[in-house]
Amino acid sequence: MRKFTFLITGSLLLFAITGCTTVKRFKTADYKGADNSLVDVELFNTRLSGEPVVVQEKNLWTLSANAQTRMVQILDERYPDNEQFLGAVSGSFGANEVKVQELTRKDLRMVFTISKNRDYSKLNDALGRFSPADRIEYLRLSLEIPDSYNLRFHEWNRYVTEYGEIDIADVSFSRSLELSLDGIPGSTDMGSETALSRNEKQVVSKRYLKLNGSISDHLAVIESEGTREVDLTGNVIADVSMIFDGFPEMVVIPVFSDSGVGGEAAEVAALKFVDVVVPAMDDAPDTLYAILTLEYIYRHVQSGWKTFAEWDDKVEYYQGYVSKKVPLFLKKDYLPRLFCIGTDQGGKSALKFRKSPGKEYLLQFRDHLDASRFLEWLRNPARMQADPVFIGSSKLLYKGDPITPGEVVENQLKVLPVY
Amino acid sequence: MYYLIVRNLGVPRCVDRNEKDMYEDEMAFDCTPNIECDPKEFVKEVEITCTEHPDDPIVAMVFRD
Repeated sequence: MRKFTFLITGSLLLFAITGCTTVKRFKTADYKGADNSLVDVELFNTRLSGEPVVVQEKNLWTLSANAQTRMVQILDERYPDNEQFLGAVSGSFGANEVKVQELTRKDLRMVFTISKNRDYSKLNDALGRFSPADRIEYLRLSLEIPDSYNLRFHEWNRYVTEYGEIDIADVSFSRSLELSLDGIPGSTDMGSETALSRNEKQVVSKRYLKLNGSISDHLAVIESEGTREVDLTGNVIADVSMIFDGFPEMVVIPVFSDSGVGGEAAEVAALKFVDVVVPAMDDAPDTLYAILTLEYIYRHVQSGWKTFAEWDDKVEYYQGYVSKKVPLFLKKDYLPRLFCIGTDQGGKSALKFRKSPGKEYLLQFRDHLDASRFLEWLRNPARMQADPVFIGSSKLLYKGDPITPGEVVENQLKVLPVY
Repeated sequence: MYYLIVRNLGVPRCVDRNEKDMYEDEMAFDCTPNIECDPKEFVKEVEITCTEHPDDPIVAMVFRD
């Protein structure tokens, strides 16, 4: 009987030392299978930056009248030879080279919104899968771009893994053991008492994976881990840069003389040709889509959710998967903003120019203002209405034939977007 | 007359023309011209590269008038 009592006391003591703590993740935990209805994800995109602006080249004609006079004097002193002087006057200065304009890069702020489905109507339902203590414990987001778009991820701001740390508890262990022996071995009475006590203090904290990610040409993956009191419901933001494959285009920048100041119409002194690169894609779909996928682990507290502490929770884990097609770019977001002069009546026809025999190019402008000013210059009633238009050595064409200012007015040509 | 037409962002563009059908796969062309052409009959598709982007082959169409 005494031996039995000793065993019970020892067991209770052991239980008190090891079992009676609130620093536990749960009371019980079971994996309950797949349920794809517990969590949802949405993607919201914001464009971070526009396309780079063409820097107009500086030359003699872009200067003010005073600066022009002074520049001519300087060049005259520097180049006494007539040919050299003319070369210097017609050349450019300042930023001599206009770089190729890349219109293929798009910077996006992607906001992933992760939400829990909160079905309060089944709060006390044994079969319900929602309680106020539930949380998304793990998620893995991926965004995949179809190969057919010739679009790829270039870089983003998620190269460094973010870790979080939480202090879970200050734990104090106090163990005491008292042994008492009492017996009569042989004919001698013996008694002994021993006491052992030990105090131990620990700070329990945990480092967890707050946010991690990887990026490749067609796939961006974000991974996040929750922990005690950290639910992953909310927004995850990533700044992403994407690049389309390139297709070559040539745009013109009209260089206007400064004579528009005194009421006279500005004259086109020269056309500057700039190479640009636009997205390479056979067609131009209204919307470019990506595949957004969310894999998650959902921690449902089946009982014990009345307390904030988690040690008494009976936890059920569910695994889920959500996949959907999400719009990435609308047509207006990815088409380059180039402008031409023409008409869209009876099929689109636009002005072209011939630089050399057999080499004709579309007369397209990088911005609407340039195109409007050029059209205004073409329509100027002071021009010879019946003479073909030349700019330098380039001849202006419409439907394959030279065009006159009179025909520009007659055909009601206007500024149109190229795409 | 034979015409070589490339299509980008839904917009077709005639980049070259020749009296003979000299267009074959793996040929390289300047893709920036936009020549006036009158394509009437489809002849074939060829995979060409633009001289500006030699690493990215594109599908072009050959037409004749």
